[in-house]
Amino acid sequence: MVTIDISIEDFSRLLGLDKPLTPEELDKWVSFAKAEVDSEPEGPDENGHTKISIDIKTASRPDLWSAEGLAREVRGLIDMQGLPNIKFPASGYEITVNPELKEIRPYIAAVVARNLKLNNFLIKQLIQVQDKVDFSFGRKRKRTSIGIYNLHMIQSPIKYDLVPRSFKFVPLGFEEEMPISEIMKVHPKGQEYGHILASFEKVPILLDANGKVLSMPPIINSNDVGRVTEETTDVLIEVTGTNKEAVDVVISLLAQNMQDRGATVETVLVHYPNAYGLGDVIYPPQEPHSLEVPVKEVNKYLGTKFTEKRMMSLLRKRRHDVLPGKQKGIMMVQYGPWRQDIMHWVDLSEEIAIAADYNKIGPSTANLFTVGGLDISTQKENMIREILVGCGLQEVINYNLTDSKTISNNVLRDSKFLEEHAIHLINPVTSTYEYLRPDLLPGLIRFVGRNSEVQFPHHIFETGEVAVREGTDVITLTKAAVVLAGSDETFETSHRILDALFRLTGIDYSLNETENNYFIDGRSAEIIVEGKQVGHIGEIKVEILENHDIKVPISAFEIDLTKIKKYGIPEYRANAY
Amino acid sequence: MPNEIRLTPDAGLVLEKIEKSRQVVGIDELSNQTGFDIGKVSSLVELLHKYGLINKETKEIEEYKLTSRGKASLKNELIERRLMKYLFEHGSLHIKDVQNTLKVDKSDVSAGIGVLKKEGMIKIDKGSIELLDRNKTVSDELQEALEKINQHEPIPVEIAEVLLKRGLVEKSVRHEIFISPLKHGKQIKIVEEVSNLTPDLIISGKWRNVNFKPYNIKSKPRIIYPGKYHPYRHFHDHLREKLIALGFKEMKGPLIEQEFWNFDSLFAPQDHPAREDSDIFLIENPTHGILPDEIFVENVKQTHQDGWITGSRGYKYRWDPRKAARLLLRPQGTAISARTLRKVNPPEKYFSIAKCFRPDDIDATHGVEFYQVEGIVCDPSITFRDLLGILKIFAEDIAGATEVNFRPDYYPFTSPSVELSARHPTLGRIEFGGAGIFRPEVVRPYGIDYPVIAWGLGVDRLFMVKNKIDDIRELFSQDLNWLREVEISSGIEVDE
Repeated sequence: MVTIDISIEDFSRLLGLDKPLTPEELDKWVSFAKAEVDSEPEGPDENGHTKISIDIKTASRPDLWSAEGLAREVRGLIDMQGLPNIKFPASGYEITVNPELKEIRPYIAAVVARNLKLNNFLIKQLIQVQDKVDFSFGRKRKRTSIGIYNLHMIQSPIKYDLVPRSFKFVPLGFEEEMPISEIMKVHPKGQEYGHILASFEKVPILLDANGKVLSMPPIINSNDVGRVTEETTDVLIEVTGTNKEAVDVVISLLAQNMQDRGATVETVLVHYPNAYGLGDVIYPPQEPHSLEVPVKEVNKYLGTKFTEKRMMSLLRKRRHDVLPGKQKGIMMVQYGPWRQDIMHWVDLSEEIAIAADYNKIGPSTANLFTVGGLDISTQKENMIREILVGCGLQEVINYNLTDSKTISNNVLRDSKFLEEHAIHLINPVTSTYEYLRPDLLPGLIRFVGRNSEVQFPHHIFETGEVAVREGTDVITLTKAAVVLAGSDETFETSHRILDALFRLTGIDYSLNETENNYFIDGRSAEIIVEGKQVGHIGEIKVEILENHDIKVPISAFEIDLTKIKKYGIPEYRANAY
Repeated sequence: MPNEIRLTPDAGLVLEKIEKSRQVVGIDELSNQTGFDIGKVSSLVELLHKYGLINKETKEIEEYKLTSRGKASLKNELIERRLMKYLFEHGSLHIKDVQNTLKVDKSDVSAGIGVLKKEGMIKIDKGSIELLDRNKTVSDELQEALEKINQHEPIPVEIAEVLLKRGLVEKSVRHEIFISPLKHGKQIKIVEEVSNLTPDLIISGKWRNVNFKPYNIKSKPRIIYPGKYHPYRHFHDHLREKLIALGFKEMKGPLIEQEFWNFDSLFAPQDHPAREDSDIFLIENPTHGILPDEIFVENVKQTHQDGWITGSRGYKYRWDPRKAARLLLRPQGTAISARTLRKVNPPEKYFSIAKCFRPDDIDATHGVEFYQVEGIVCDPSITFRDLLGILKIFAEDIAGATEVNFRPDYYPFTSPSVELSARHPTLGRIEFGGAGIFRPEVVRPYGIDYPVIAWGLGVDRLFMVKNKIDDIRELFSQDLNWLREVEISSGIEVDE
């Protein structure tokens, strides 16, 4: 999701409307572009702009991340159908590309826009689209990045070249020439984006015919050429990147935005070196993409009965051109080069449905008889929960994410276990949530500690998923744990409940005396079912109670339900399928 | 024997005293005569009256009661008396110092001084109170009246008026009970009274000759805390019930998942922003799982690279199996649906209530752990309009909403995609869920050549409104008091 700020008045004018939309009307219109109003309107300011935020949900439609783009899309439903103009005259500007860039940042595209009437508002909108596209679609400038220059300061042909890091120029916002190696360290943009080029000795540079530096893509513009002000009327916009399709998308959407703002748009010729096998390429792309769409299949897919003619009209409302296909019943849809998100005719079937309005197409009722049911693990868990609630216990739930202290220091597990079996996150948000819990008991004991002011006894339980590592596999297990905290609690009080639990679910069990670091010696046992240890029961050691400031005895048990074959609860493994 | 009334020995004694008095008696008197405390006498009188054995009349008696200031004046004497005593010893006192020196209530100071001035006992010169006549003393009338009121004795009306005005007394109403004998003509049988019915009484038959001491049924019982389900899990139980009733089967999957099932299978390109380290939780050891040794992995790879036979253009990049095998904490429940695709046998409908994890700044609206409710519907005949129909059923049947509204939506793995919002009688307009038809790129690798619906529901808001929670961290409440007291609900509907 991408959020942009627009002006309601500006957007309404772009839609060709006489008076500004209300926020509700605006929300309805942008819904057809998978967007929604995300803020209260603010303003109008002294220039007559009422600011409002719009969320655009589509991650693969950078052409919608501007007022111009949203309006272009929505206006199809009002008064402008079919593909917008994509054919532009040549500007005479040319770019040559150094073959060595193929391994570094191979592609460049550019467009010229003349007679632009820039003001502060439009410059901000331009910077906004540059930022949003660079950040999200451009993958923080790694995949694509945009540069904008004052055309009058540039002589064609432009060279997309490579220079060593000792090369010097004045970066935007600085006064002095400095070597690139220094810019990478000192300039904020160098610090932010320098890593993209970190593995290359030489770095990309854009130079005009006189050797004047335009920019060092994708890091920083030069201070003079790369500065656009209210006085600027003619600009050169350039996009470099690692993916040709992505570069095509960005340059063509920018050309459209310029056209929608009333500028005279002109093409730029890029001479790719022979090694690319691309020859000379005119930017922005001058030809639409096309895709065959089968009418019958679309109707079957949507559950509609549109005629071919109606479908063609709906597609034009989505700013596509439609030509007759090779066969009857197949439409040839032509769409703008900024629409690389269209991958399959199902995408165009969606557009047909959007243009027709989902609410007007309306729901139908499928006669689909199926038998529902719970997963076996839920059934068994519910059985255990029913018994434990029947024993008068309060159910508790805890997060799966926890900290090392809760797992180890306070109860149950030692550092060896942490190392061998506990699942540790590489990138936790806080150390409170850095492990996945391997047991339920620690969370329950912590719960008692957090409620030490609440009337005892606390009779609580939890059933749920935990995760452990075993060798190279990670396993999700289902466990159940009971904690009885109160002045009258003894080994026997939780044993009663364990006994009831197993008796009522038909499980034979036995207890083996054992010693460990969490139950008091002589009041600690392993729970054995089907010849295997499936859990532990006992009275919690006083040191652990003290750690939690608990002043009453705790009698507790935990069992791994997945280990009891008779229950049939599966383990869920990342590697199983 | 309808006319026989069985009384306990104690009740019999009270009745006897009343009948003996032959005239009107009060509770106090009966208490004195029987030696029972007033509470006991009162309840026995109540009982006798209920049986129609005595006359009982309650009268309202107006009387005066000391206020807190009156009580203080009774204990420490009235201000005018204290002021006189002071003046006798010291001769004079400044008005400003009266309150502090005598430690009296400010509001009574002027009244006290007024009394003394009226009697000509003092004069005030430039704020200083001077004693005029050492031979005069303050009348005892008021002080005695306070004493009388304390003893519930009557006082003259004009004195009472003065005390009322000075805020030393207030009027109150007392209910007094007047009891007198009644010719009832009923036969009285005195029987033993027992508190508890015991097995011995039942077995021996003695219960026939005893009276059961009545309980005070108005008194509050001791509070108990029954065993209860956690309200949020109970909410999920109810949700499962609803979905099962609609023919959905539950699916489950691992908490730690391979990116393959979570992303690649769902046609998210390997450089998709949602796959960046900052948007998912990665685990330290092992970092990678093992991809299934199955043809569908190859199909997914081909589909990403060039669209394979799905009719798609594909993403045109080199698909990296190592990236697909990376392990992460499940960030979306759809991973479970993806796993289910390889074994569906239509017609089938599935759901899961899946714990999911995403890095986020933790606050009242964001947690790093949350549940997602989602699933799939598989049937070769299904259409997009059927999907809208299913969403409408969800809104109406699960959330109790009306007036559904559909909006275009975006998910990388569905086309078309739709968001459902609906009007709820209590909540107003709510965004209730999202859905779409799985792209052919998602289902074809599993040999599925018909549409499969994928859907998700946002139902936590229903639970939060129902339980008046506005912080999502409280879904996992650690507050035992709240868990003990929160009302048990019978379903997921929000009450109007």
